[in-house]
Amino acid sequence: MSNESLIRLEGITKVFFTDELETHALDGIHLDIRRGEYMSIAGPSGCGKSTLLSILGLLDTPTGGTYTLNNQPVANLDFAARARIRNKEIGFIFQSFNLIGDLTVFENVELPLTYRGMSAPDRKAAAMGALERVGMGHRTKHYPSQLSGGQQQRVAVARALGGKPSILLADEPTGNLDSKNGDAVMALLRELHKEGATICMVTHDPRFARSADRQVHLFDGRVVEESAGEAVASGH
Amino acid sequence: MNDLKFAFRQLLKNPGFTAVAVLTLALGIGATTAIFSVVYGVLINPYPYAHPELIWAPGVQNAKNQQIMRPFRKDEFDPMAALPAFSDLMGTSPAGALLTGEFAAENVTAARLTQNAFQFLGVSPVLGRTFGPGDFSASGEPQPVTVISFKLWQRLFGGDPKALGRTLRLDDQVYTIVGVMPSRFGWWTSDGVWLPMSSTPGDPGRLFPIGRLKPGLDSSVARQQLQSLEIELAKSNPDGFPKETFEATLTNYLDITAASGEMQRALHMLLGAVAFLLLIACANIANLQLARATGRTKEMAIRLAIGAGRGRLVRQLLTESVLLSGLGGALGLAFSVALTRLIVALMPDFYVPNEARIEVNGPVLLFSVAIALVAGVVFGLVPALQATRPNLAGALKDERAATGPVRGGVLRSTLIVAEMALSVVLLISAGLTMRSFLALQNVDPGFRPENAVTADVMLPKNRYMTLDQRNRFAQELLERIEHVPGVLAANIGNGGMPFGGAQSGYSIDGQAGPDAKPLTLNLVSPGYLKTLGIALRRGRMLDLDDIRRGDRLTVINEAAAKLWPAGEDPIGRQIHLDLLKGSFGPVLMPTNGAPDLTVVGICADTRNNGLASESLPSAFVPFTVAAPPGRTLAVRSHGDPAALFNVIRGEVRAMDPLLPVSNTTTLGRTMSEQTAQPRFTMALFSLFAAVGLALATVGLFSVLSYLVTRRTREIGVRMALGAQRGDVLRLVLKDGGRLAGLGIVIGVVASLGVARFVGSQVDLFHVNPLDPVSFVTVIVLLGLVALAACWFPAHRAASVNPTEALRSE
Repeated sequence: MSNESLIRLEGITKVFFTDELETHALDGIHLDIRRGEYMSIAGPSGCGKSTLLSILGLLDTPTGGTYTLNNQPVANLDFAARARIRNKEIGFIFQSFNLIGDLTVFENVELPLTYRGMSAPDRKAAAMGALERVGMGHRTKHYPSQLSGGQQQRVAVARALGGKPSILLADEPTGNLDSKNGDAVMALLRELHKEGATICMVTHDPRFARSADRQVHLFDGRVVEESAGEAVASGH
Repeated sequence: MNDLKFAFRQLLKNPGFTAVAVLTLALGIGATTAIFSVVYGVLINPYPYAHPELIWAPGVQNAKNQQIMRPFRKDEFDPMAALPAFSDLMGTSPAGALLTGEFAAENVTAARLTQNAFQFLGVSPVLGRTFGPGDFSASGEPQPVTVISFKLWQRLFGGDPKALGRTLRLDDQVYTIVGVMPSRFGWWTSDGVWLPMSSTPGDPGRLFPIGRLKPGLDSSVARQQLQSLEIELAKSNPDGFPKETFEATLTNYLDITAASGEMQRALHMLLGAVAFLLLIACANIANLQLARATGRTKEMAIRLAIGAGRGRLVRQLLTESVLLSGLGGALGLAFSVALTRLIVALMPDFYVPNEARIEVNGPVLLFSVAIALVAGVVFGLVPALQATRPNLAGALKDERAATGPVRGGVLRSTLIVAEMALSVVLLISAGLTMRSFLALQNVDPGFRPENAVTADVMLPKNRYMTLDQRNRFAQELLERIEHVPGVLAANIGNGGMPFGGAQSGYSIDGQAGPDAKPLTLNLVSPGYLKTLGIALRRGRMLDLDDIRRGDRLTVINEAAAKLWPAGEDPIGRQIHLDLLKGSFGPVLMPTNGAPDLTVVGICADTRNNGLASESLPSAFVPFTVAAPPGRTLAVRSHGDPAALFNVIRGEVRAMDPLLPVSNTTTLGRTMSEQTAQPRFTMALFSLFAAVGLALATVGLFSVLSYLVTRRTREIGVRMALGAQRGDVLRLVLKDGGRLAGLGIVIGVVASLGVARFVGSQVDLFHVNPLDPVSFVTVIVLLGLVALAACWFPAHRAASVNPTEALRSE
């Protein structure tokens, strides 16, 4: 892990307006994520974990505050610019996998590379590399519905990895998996981290949260605690 | 390519949606293509001639009438051809000719053409050659050669190439066939012959000139040159031009088709109707696409999350839409071929130019492809734009409010309202044409068309040269027919059987008619009123002795009786008919006959100027006072009138084996032709309106069904909170009723304008464009249909099991 800051949030707020009701989902979040860091965000339901991850992933825009990614302000970019950055810099891993059922495993992994305008041979090499990396190289022609939950999540990880993003954002990646498959996915994330990947994971499972380098605890839209993970604490 | 592959996969994955969408589009695109194929064949490209846009017909217009094409004297042709505006000028002199010899006798159209005609028209023969300098002597006398039409070639020679060099006996002169024109060539006839026209100096004949303007020359310049020429020509030929001030006219030949006028306007209206139909189809598919887009929200969100630009996704969705419209277009094209055939079958022959070909050809195909593409973009763009801006974070987490509004609801509702409104406009327009047709159908013509037939007999001028010969023939034929068993009555003469007649100026007691309008002159025999079933109001009918003697007596109709001052009895009074002054053209008259006739009777009015027109004043005079070469025979029988045709042919053949009988028809068919154009417009308008109504109904049904599905959980909550089934039923019916009601209101308001426009384009017979019956009927009909479309989804909603609904996603 380097000391170079990959992501910096300063005073990020997010307010939802519904029927004359203001809901402060995030209330002045300050956060630094360093390149190569493995960070987890934890907290009870409704504390703003997922909202924070959406803002980190440029799926949503903050109401206030600044957000810099690779030293570039990105909070107020337009839709197209955010899409380009998502495509190049961010890899998503969702709780419910979010694979496209009409595409094969290979096509799902290839899809973000297609949007990037990569040539077909390069796409194939990158997608196959990512699938091999997660142990799914033998299932390229299958459709998601033909895979188990654990396999689907591994394909989702491959899709996130294929474009070599700056950061992997994982939103409850084990939430829809049994414990065995959940452990396998977490092991995969740890391996990726060891190979240099920056990972930011939202989880409500303390066991998985502790496996990160750093844990950030949210409550009522604020960071209430930051602590080192087990690996750091044990000196590993 | 990937987009296309994925689009195919999407359509295959949803066969139900694909089938409905493709069928809907096929109906819209097919109907539009079919009507366009008619418009293209009849109005845009009716002629096979080279650059028809440069062909112009000289004419004359004054305050009384306009002669778009008119005959000029042959000695007026050369000065006209010398006008700088024309690059070329050709002349046509149409006539009939009696074909005899080795073939069964028949009258064929024989158009005489100037030497340059075929080169002027720019069409080559399929066999042999056209006319050349060798077909004319140095003095301009034509050689006995002929170029024949494709149809005549097929009919007489079975398409045998050896027909070249063979001969045809026309009016007892032998002509050698030198060429055969292609099937689409139909200059004045598509089933006749073309003969070289004499151009000898001093020839008193007449011809119709047609000029080709120099490219780039404005027609107004040509018209000015023509105006100067016609003023000069009128000085040397005062009888050939109107006495009053007149203007030269030049009419482009593309505007002189058989379909000009009412049919042209009707076709434009029908093109508008199918455009409405296509819009309804597009709105339907757009609605289906919107519903599908909701189901694909998550897919779109994932694509966006992994970096797809919005434009990229819109492109992908548009690919799906265009692929869908392409499939719809392909099926629509097949449908249009069948519909075009149906339209051609419905279309009255006399509205289709000889040369026109109504078919799905290259340009029509291009049009079809273009509208399929446009339709694909039209119905695909808005749903694509909507689908590609989901709430990303929510969509990715499968969030959906249990009772929140359904996305795209306003757009979906707008589309349904638009569909209903378009449907109302179509239905009201169709209703007006239907009411007009029915009104025309129910007109009392003043005569009885059932069990009556008419047939024409043309006497060759060279064998029936005298008045006496022609009258004796007519008298004998009449007597023979009257003695045929089963014949109730017969009439021979000209005009008024049941329509038409020669137009003659007249004067009563030395005073010309007040508005200088002519009177219709009909030549009849004693059985006229009985044969046509016309009532005699007062006085008496002409009898056999009157006819034999050629007495100067007349029976007039009630419209003519009104020409006398009110209170004066026309019977016993005299009327002067200009046309009976003496022989003219081929019409022979007694040398000692006076043009003054004594009125002996008054008969009932008939619709003698067509069913849709008021009765014209008419005078019926003995057929023996004037003898044109052609006579019309009308016969009323006890039984099937068509059985009379062979009897008539047999009697004519018995009198003169070389005389053909032509234009055999029943009065019923003649009447039917009067309503053919309104029937055509009404039938197609009604067909398109019915399809539009069906599509709009399906649209309303599917949107409500979709809403019910989306609101299942909400309905469950409502029921859990105590709502009765009736409450739920009312909830859905209210939603549907609001959409349908708004559509009907907007449609009715729009129809107030559209109906006036329809009334200005289509001749509505005795029907006000704002006809309350049509409007109310459509409102009630659409209301009932909408209620039916709402009822089933409402019933399904009311049958929701609240426990299951609350568990549903």
